[in-house]
Amino acid sequence: MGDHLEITERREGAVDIVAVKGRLDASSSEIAEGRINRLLDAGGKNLLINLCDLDYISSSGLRVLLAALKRLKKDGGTLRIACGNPQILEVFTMAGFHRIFSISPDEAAALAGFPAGS
Amino acid sequence: MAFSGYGDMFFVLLQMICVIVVVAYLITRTTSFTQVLDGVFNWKGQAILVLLFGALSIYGTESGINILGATANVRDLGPMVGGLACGPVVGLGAGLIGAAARLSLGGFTAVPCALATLLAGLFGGLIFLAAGKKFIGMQGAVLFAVGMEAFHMGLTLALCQPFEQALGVVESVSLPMIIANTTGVFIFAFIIGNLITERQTKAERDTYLSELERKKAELRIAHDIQMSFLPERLPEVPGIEVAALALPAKEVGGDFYDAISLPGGRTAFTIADVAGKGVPAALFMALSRTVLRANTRVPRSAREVVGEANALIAEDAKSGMFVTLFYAVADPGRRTLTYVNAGHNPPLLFRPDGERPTRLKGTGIILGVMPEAEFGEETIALETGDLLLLYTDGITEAINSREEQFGEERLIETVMNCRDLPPGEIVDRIRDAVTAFSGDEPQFDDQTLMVLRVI
Repeated sequence: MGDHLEITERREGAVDIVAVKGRLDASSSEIAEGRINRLLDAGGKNLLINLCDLDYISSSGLRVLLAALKRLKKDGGTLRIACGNPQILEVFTMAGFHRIFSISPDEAAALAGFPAGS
Repeated sequence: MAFSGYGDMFFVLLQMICVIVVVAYLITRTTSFTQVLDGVFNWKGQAILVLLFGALSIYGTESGINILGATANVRDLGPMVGGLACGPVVGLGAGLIGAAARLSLGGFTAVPCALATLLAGLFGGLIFLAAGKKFIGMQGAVLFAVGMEAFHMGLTLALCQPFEQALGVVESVSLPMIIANTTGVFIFAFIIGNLITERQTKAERDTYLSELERKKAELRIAHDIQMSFLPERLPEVPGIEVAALALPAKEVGGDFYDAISLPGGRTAFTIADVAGKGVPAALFMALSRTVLRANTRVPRSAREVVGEANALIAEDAKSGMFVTLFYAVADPGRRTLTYVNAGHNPPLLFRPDGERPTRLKGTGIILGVMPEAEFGEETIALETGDLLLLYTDGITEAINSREEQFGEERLIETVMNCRDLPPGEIVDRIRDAVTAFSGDEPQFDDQTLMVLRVI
């Protein structure tokens, strides 16, 4: 399971960028959670999650994002989401995520939102 | 037995070894022996072991090869192993039997041989005590056998007169005796070592199995407790028919539904999905359900009930736990339904005109994330024949072998094809459709359904 999910990581300055493509559902979200936790364990404080090429997100996927946000908030870090896919944005709106996450339409805009010098 | 060359002698030794293998196997399988391995020492068991190892010692004498009036034999084997594996009582007891049998035969080396057999049992027993009342292991046992037989030869040289005759005997029997006895001890040590490992593995496996059994029992109990959180029987609601179904993916799950009678003939219907599955989700489900129920006790609007429940749940939500919840209050008097949708997948409202259903979309954020969140509520007018389907995403996200999802469209189609049936049968039809669609794919997420019909 989980072969319908593709995760790539890279670093831009002090920002860890995790691009999640495909489907983030009950069967694949544990993999995504593991990858994100590994970055945060390594001391990452600025996390950008790029969901521009995500086709589908379920409540398990939302939980992964929320767990990352809570952890970063506690450690004084920043999490920003880049997503322009209207279907994903609709799920975010349904869950009320637009009120607790900083969501930008694309990666460049999300990257610009991180505090200067980070 | 006549001694006619090394070939014959080793053939006889081989025969001895075969007997020893069988005897070693049988002795180590007796209850008395395994009791000793377990550290249980009683007189009956010890007496049996003394007799068994004593008999082995006598066999060792009788099967020996006569050389110049002395015998190359494995008389010391029984007492040595008895002492090493079962302690000084068994070692000394078996030694006494072996020594007595040897003395009764007489001969040039009777005294040192009998003495050596007695000491073999005693020393073996002392080593057992020194090793902390357990078998010393293969290496130590084999070294002890070599040393003991060398000592035996030394005793013969020291005690037998004339010295030249004693030296002659020792020269011819020392090598075969050391080899034979050491081989015998090696065989015993090997079998005892195997037995100990085998018993340890078995003990570990038993512990593991009983642990597993206990965990399963605990999960069964958890399952029963959790199922008792769901309404055993949905309340009779005037003007509305209701049916529901919950299928957890594991023994316990994070979904729940509820129907709560409110003052004024109203009834609150709710369905919820705790993110995650298994025990963590189940515990959070229990908390959320109780908090929600407690909040319906106070007369307040639907949005206030959910808002208050959210504030309390958020206090306890750790590590990204959250709940999606749909909460609706049906008022049969006014024929209205007032609902709050806190991030739950939109329930489907089928009107009697046969058109496609309306989705009752979100009016607020998921529970457990923002303590101070505000929730909106919507009120719709109910008509006779309205059908409302509440469900969790385990239904629409059920996958088949090609990893396709059941999806909202199939769900709508299924309901449209049976919408005039009683709610209980509609629930069954949906469950059957999902089961048929998934085929052999395991159920990934909890699946929960509730169907309401206005009559």
